[in-house]
Amino acid sequence: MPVSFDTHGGPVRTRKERSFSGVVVGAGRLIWPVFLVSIRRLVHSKFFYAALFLAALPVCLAVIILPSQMGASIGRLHLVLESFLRTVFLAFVVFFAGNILGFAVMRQEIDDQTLHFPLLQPTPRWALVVGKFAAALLLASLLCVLSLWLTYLVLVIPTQGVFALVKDLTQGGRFFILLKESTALVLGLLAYTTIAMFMGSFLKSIAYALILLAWDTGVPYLPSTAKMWTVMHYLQSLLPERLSQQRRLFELLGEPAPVWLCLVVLVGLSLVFLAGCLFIFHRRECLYGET
Amino acid sequence: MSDTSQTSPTIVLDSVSRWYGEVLGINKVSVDIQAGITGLVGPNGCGKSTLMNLVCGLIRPGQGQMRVLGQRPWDNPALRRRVGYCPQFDHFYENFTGYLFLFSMLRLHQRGRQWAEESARHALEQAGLARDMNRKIRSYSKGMRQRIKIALALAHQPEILVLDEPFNGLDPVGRHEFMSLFAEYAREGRTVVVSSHILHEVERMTDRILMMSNGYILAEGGVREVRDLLRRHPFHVLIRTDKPRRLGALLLEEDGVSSVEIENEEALMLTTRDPDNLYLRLNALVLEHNIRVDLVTLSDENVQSIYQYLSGKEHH
Repeated sequence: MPVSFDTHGGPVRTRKERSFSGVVVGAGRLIWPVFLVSIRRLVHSKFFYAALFLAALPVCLAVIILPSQMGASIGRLHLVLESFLRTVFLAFVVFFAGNILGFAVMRQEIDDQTLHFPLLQPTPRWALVVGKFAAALLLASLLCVLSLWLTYLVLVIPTQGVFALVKDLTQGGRFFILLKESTALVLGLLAYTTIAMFMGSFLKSIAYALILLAWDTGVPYLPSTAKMWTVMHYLQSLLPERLSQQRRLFELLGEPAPVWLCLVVLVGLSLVFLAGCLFIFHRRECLYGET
Repeated sequence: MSDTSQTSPTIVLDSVSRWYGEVLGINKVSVDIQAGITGLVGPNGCGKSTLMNLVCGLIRPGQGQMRVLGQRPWDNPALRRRVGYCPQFDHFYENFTGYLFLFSMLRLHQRGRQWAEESARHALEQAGLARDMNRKIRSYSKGMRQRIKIALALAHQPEILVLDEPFNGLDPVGRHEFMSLFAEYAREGRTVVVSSHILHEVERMTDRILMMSNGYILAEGGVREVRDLLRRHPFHVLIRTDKPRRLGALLLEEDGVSSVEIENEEALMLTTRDPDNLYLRLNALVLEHNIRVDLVTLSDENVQSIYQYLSGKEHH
């Protein structure tokens, strides 16, 4: 869609661009350059390397336990991957990757004292926040989902061979299960990234994440309805193969939440925190702590 | 530049105050800035950067009203297309090349990829960075970092150019080049606001200056008027010599020297309203009476001292 400009270089909106699809396309145009510059900044930062390290952990763990799984059945490997998902991915990798990248994408500009550069450009502040959010979420999602699939491949190929892998993915339906699990990871990242962005818009330290981690991992084990107030409960409930069905740990924690509730809570929570972040960033002055 | 004329002010501040907690930024500043170059002069911490940040919409005024090109600058993305700012902050996206940095920022103007590419290249050439545009910013010298800031401010051809200490770190050739460039901008009917704590630097570019001290506009007008204001105050000259008493006695007989004070056995301090004439006479006296002089310096040469004079504070 060609864009025309007014005498000051601002885009002139046609009637078509004022329609719903035009507004969406227009918003995309505003967000896209922010997204690109945020991705470029993040991938060169120490925060990205920290997230990369976190994402590499499950793969390394899979390599370490591999000798003990030689000769194990495919069903056994699924159980191993399932426990990886709950204990390593959801409770650790997703939590920290989301929090680190979400926090960094907001704090980086302030801590590096470069916030004035985007603020001096003619991009609305909401587009700056949404573009940054999209960058952090995409990077975190790529890392975590790739890590999940690599962990699966590392566990299955050396023990079962390529033919068994293909059979498991196609006939065994594992491909769709992995897709659902990947979606659960992305939803977890969505929630944690927005929480972290909100915190990063006014806190200087990421120490809040430790409190959140303690809450999210500790509360579900309490015999009360307090677990309804944790992100982890809904993420665990979203996993396609529930341990509760196998009468394991989740039985202790009570019934998992229905999928629709998980989706509503996780998406709703993310929207609330993103809105909070927008509100704070909208009022933010470019001061860097000096007078 | 449709609504920028030579007569109507492009920047209007009406009783604008800004405090940072209990620290004063600027206080009840009312000023109209018109097209052309306006120099903003004052010592560090006098409120220059606060005023510029307000004009560029990076901070909000605590009190008062302000208009830039008839619009409120705070949270006004459309106005950013018409204002270019070279801030004092020396922080960048260090891992970006000079070109990528400019290109990325210009992409935020939503004027298309091609426009951003062309504008970035043109601005980098204008700033003398064409050869180094593919180097990472972290490898840039201080002068190059300064140039890229100016390039970013100029790149979208703004109607108002706000430059906070733009000559810091630039070599004399660079200073001259940019002074010419800013003068050219002003001739095109644009508004250029340049801050500096060096009076003569601003004097080379414009005759219109705003002098600031402690958050207030201290003097406003032509450089000559401000210079006249300065002439009403004596300069203090420190001379380090092997014969301070002898030299002091000789200098007291000279016209324009109002007082001499022996600091110690190696230095004297005198006050004069005409330092240029003093230097000429000092050379003659030193040769004539065989007196060794190790150092002659205006103890109040820096602008901080000038402002202390202007704001009525006692020097040393």
